[in-house]
Amino acid sequence: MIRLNTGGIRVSQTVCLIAMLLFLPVSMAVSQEHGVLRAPWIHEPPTHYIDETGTQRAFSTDLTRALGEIVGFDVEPVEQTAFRGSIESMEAGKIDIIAGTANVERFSDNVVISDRLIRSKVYLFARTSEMATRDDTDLKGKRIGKLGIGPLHDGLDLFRDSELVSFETYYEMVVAIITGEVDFLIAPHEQIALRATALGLSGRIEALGSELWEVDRFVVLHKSKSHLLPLINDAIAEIQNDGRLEVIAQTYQMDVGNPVPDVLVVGILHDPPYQVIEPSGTFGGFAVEAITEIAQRAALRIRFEEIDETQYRDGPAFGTYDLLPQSGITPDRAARMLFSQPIDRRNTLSIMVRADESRTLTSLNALEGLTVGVQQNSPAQLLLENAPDFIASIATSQHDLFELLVSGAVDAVITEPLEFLTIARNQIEPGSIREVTPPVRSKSRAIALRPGLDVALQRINAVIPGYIISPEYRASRDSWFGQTVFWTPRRIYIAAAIGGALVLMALLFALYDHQRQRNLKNLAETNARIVELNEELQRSNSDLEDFAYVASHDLKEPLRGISINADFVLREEVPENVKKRLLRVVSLSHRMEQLVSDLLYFSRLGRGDIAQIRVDPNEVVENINTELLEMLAECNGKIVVETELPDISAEPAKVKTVLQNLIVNGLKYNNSDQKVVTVGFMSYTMVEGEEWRDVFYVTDNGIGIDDKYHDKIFKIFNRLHRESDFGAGTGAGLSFVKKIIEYYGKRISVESMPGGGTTFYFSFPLHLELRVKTMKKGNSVR
Amino acid sequence: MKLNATILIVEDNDDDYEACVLALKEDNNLANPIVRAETGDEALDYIYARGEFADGKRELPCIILLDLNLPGTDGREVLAKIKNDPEMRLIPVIIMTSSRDEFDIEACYSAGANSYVAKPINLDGFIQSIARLKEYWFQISLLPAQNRD
Repeated sequence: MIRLNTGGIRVSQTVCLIAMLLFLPVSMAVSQEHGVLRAPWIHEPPTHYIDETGTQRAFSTDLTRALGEIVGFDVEPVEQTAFRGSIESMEAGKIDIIAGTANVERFSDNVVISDRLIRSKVYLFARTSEMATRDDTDLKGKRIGKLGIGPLHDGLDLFRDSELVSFETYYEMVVAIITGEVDFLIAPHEQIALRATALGLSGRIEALGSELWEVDRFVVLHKSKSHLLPLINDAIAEIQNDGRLEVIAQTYQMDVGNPVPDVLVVGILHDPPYQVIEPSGTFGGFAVEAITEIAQRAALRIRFEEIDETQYRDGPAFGTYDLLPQSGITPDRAARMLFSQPIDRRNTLSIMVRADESRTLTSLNALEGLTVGVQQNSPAQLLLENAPDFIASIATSQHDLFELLVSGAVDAVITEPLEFLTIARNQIEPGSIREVTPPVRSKSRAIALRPGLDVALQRINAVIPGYIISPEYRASRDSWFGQTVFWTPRRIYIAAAIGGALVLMALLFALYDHQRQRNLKNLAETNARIVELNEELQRSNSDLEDFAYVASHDLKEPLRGISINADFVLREEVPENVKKRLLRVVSLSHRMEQLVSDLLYFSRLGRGDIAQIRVDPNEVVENINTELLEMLAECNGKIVVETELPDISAEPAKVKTVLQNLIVNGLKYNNSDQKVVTVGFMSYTMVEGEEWRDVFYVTDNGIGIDDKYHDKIFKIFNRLHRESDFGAGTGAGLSFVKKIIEYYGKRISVESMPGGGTTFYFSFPLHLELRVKTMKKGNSVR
Repeated sequence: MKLNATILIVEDNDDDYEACVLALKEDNNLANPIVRAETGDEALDYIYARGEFADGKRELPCIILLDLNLPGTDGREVLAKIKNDPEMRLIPVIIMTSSRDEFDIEACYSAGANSYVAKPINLDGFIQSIARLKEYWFQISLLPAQNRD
């Protein structure tokens, strides 16, 4: 099943413009050698129309003008109402020439018939909408539309059981099948395709199966002009060969009936190493091998035919050959042919230097001031006009150019490199010259097809990517262009760049790793040092405590000795003044003993594990209160627990030491008539501008402490007052408190001012009730 | 308590020993012989009738006042030796030391000390402390039969 070819409409519009430009001068030309020939013209837009210049246009008319241009006559279109009228007019001698008609049997002996002009294929058309339900094999009783005077053919016998309906024009036929007036159409493919496209109905009509038969179209000439027939036959051959017929046919979509010829004719020009014609007559070369492989992959049959330079330049065209195995893609050529995807890229102009050239001549600008060889009339010579200021040396052939370079007469040569290198390869010193990259100019090369071979092009394009990555492609290239030098300067540069980057990365990584190792080593050393220091510190602490402990014991022994001996003496009868001195000795010994005891206690505070026993501070305060009852009564003091105190997790004795010292201090350093020490707890407060949480406090209405002593009071054996003022004490109490608090990782702070009482804020680890809730499973699905 | 039962005082410090003896005899109501050992080794020799006491004439003490910090074998070892010996463990051992270290107190009671007394700082303290010990151990407490022999 063949769909109507409507994809070419854009191309045909373009070509149409070109065709108009081509033929406008013709229509305006006057007084040709053979005068004026009258040709029929039917006004049937858009295929038969009057263009902007007032010229009557149609396939037949354009064709007639093309022939007239060659033969030497002007064309005078004579308007007809239908093709039937054309035949009558010819009989009546009112027109002289009809180009492109197939109905030669209709004419009498008054005409002469030319050689075949063009061949089109006749198809059976049907409505696309019935594609699924229609039985194409059963045409019995079906209404089949045909052009009334259309091609009479034996093939019509096929439809003898069908009802044939005649129409005056192809337009009427297209409308008839769409409206359902007929079920099928018999017509040349291009005629229906053209009208269907013009009416915007292209997707609704389709051609069925393969063509029914072929129709040859000829030029019919009135007998009176029969002397022009040989000239017209020559002209037909000419327009067939030079592609002009193709362009006109393309304009009017006359070739669409033949999407893919059975065998595509490949034109081969001897152009080594792309296309090589051996003396034996066989075809070879890279492009030949490529097209052979591609055609095989695309399931296209091809046949090689030798072509000459002119045919090569004109490119493939209808009636000559179908494709070129490889052609450079230029805008000029792209307008006349279809190009496949590029399969090669050819350097069309390169700078060639001697192999030992040390200068970097990678661009035209680098050649400034040097002597450069170019071939006469070559593209390179054209470059001279726009190129930098270098001294040109013109050679007449590639061989001369090669000699110029090798002999040292020029510094470089700009030329098409392939031929030049071929020459160099054939010389005695094959490695004497080299091509500089990048090239000055390069051109993609692709398979070129004549217009109308869109389907073949699609099939070719479909297989090109696969071909290009195939081993066959590489093998073919290698065999015709020589082994590909993998390490081209460009690749070396890229590889070097990548290599350099890798080396750099490796270096950076090595550096990083080294640094990391060093850091790790440093870290390990630091860790080891920390462990060492820690051990040292522990040892030192331990030593210190041992020292304090042992020293305390050892200090106590003689102290007791002093005291006891003094007591011994005191038991005797001694003079009063001696007794007073001895009592002083005893008193000092006791004080010394207290200091040592405190020191001992202080040293022991940092020892041992942190006990985590649940302590109720309310109880502790209550006990302190009980113990101090006597003292409280004596000094008119009172201990108040302001808030409920939360349980503490610590060693009970230490909690007591803390609270007792603070409470006793509050009572002791207090001149108020009613001495009050208040104990409380806050879950949040600001202390010295900082947020504290879970804070205990002990406040008194005592004498207060000057700011400058706030640090000093926590130092062991530091006293702010004389013993006689506020009673005896070693001044160790607050140092115990601070050490205990810090031992538990907490802090203590004092807020006070002279005469304004004192508040100590401190924390203890709280005993936290862990409320473990048992999660009920509920009714969730197991 | 037999009035002739020996009291062993293990004390290296002369002042403390003197104060101790003075305190023991303060009220002139103590007839018991007092034996002094100046070192731990000497104390053990006495108890086990070794060394200079090997002649077997020594009297097994009915009570021992033991200082902890002694030259050589210290009081803690002496205590452990006595209390680990089924023959000797029933002898009351009263620790009398300058140490108020909780660790020492706990360790000594764990090892089987019968009492732990911190040495008073002055003579009056000694006299008071010893007077109470005498009252407790020699008048109030009933001691195992073995030691009353």
